[in-house]
Amino acid sequence: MAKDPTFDELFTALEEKARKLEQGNLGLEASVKLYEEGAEIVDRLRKILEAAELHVRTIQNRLADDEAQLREVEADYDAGDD
Amino acid sequence: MSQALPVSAVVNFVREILENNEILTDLWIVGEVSNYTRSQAGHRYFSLKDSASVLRSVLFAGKMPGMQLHDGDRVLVHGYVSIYTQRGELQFVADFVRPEGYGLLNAKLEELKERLGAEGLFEPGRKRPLPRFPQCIGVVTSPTGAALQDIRNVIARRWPLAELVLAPALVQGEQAPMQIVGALRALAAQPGIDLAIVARGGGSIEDLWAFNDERVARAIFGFPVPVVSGVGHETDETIADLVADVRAPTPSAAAMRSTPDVRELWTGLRVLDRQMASAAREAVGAAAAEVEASLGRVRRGSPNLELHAQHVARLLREIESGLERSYSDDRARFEGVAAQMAALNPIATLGRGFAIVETAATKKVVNSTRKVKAGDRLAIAVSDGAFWAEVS
Repeated sequence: MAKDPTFDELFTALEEKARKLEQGNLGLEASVKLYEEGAEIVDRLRKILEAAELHVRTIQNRLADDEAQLREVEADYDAGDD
Repeated sequence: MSQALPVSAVVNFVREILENNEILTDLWIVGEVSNYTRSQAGHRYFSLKDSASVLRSVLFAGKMPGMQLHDGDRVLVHGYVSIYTQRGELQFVADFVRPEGYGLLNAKLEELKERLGAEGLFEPGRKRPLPRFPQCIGVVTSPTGAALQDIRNVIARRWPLAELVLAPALVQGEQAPMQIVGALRALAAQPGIDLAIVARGGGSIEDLWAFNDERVARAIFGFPVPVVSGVGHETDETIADLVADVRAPTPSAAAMRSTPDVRELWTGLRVLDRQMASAAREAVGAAAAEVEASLGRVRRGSPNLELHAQHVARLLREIESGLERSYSDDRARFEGVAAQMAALNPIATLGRGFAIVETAATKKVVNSTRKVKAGDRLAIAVSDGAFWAEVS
């Protein structure tokens, strides 16, 4: 399955179409086609913006190697203490 | 040991031990300068002493070339312990000197700044641009701090499209540097992170010390995507700030620098939409003008009648399809924009005197002379209604 285009990709495509349209000299059919495609992208972007809701997730800290080693040493030390 | 060693072997052996000792190779010493001399080559020799001991020291010409010392100065000196092999004397090789009144933290900070700066970690040329629309933003900060709340709030308001990935870390105390390094490593291993924010709320210079740690600086430097720092308040500048691709004065400001604002994007989209619509309308207008010109030629009895008729038919077909397509789309759902669109829609061209022609019998659009014959009834749609006509 093709991956959905990102917001960035859609927005960049929109800017490109708007730029081409503005340059003109495309003829009517090509202009209307570009306009139609651009309007569709505008719709998609609006829907994305409207539906957006911030997601937050937390990942595990990957303790740096020396720190991890320190932990191991501490663990050994604790074990030996018993 | 079965055989006697030459003196130099012993001295070199001791030197190697000293120069490989972790503590002795990265040492801060506080003491008083005495016996200061400067050689012709620019090396500065002096003793560091306190009430009980003396340590022969040297600041070679390449290090801090402008630095002048005076007997009696109380100084903080960074360097490593070695042996002056010709004399078999213990020697402290200094590379950084500050007056004692400077304070150790400040002196350490300056030494590190100078060293990392010379290494190129702060080079403006290596700062990476931030992505325009980040989808996944890593955050390294305390999971319980106000900084995280601030960042969350700002991004929820400005750019809720993003996913925040929090890599929690202590941001204060002895553990903090390694935890920050670990958090950055964890983030770097996550697929799809577009940028990372490293943040901590305000505090004293000691509170912010983890962000002046060399390991943290190198982890930021080596991070695979751009890093935005937001540490402390406006006035605090840490080494993390200097290494980061973008330095923001606070955690909130870091969140702002990292994200676009949806409100501006709504405006931007409206502008693009309007530009496109007016460009499309212009194209329709140009085609309509061409139809007009062709019709004029037909009326004047041009010899290539059939050619002109075809051209007109093709243009009319295109105009019609353009009108139809832009008319049938469902942008009406976005009401505010729809109103603007209507004003700009190519359908408005009908208002300028162009018509859609259909046969009365079949309701087919007449886009060719071949579609009608004398006596056919036609329906002509104009901007405010329709009327009948007959082909003659």
